Amino acid sequence: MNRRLAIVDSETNPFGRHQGHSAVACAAEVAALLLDRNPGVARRIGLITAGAARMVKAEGIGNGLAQAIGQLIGLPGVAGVEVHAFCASSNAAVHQAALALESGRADAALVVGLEHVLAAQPRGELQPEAGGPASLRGFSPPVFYAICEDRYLMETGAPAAAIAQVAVNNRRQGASNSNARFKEEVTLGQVMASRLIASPLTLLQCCPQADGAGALLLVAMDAIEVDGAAGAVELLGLGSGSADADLALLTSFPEDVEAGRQAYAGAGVGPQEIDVAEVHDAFTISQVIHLEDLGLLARGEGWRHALDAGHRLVVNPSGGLLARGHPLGATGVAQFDGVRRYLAGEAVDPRRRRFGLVQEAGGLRPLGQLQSECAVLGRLGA
Amino acid sequence: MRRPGSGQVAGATFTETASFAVVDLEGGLQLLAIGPPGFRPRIGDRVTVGEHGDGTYDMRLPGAR
Repeated sequence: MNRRLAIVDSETNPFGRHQGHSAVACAAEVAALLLDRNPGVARRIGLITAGAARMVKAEGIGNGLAQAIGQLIGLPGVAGVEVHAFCASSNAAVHQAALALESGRADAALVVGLEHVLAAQPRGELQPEAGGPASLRGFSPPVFYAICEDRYLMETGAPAAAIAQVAVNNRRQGASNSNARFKEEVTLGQVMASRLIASPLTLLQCCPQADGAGALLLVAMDAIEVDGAAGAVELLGLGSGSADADLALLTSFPEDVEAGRQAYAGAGVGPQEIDVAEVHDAFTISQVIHLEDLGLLARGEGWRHALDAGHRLVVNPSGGLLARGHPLGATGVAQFDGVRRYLAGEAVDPRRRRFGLVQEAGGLRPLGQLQSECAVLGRLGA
Repeated sequence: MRRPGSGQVAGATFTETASFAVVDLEGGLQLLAIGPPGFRPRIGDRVTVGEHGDGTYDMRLPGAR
């Protein structure tokens, strides 16, 4: 990177159902908390980026999210940029803020991620979204990932229970995340016996939807002193990848590979050095494939990680989407928050929390709408 | 179904309401095909694929109607 950047603080609200509350107001509430905690940075904010996947549906707001939040938190004169990249919206918002800081356009940026998914629809069974003729016939994200798992199991010989174990692990880790939607642990038996969604994916192997908001503060270290800031981590590298709708690729996604390649190259850090990762576990199998695509686990061997409680790579310590819930545009900021807390926290030996990775995939391959975002972070002084 | 072709299932799933498969068609093209509920295609199965008329594709076992 041209300038050294750091995330000095981050926060989310409790993910869940926020019926009757505006997502913009919720995001502003979280952002205001950060500004209160970091007044020195707050005065230097020159840009607000806001990531949201489908606010038009949720609150009838299609433009001006960043500006609306800026108004609510007392930063009405700060420029705002709105980013839509499916589930990776706020990851892309971090990316855009980083590019602006690198260019010298600003010295500090506020990044917010927000989405109200549940509050935008009545209680009861979720209705499939109209995403084209295939969606109207029942095609949906779990269907695609179930097909991927079917293929993965055949190619690798992995047992379906090993993939399901991902849900057990992530729910266990989410139990200690006070902002997770689901804080109850589940057993492998419960996961396997839960309602079938798309064979072999059962209900507890699919992330819960949620309403949520999060925010983080990104600064240029040559302009703002962060060395003494507890909780600050350095943003070392970023990557972004896309790909066409090639259905031959069911067990590897080239957009992930490219995003990871860029992020590692920018950071000067290799996948073997990553200690902790927050990756896109919208479905149990997606976590396994993303970890392999990012080079964090050997190709065809990713499923074994779920069975190895002592593995050096810590995955989704915040509980991931499977426990935390998935408020689309807010998920990316929550992932950054999870890695920042792990690296800057004191619960783990410093030698085992030097570098972290954030990855989120947006869109769906058969629909030809794909974006993968990846970032590498480092503990200051590591 | 119009313009039927045949191919091999590369990966498949089923839900309460339908079955789905990525099918490798002869000639190298892959597409997503949709079958009726209760149809449980497996990897390696040969299926007949045809256009549904709305831009999606149907699948069935060869010879089935």
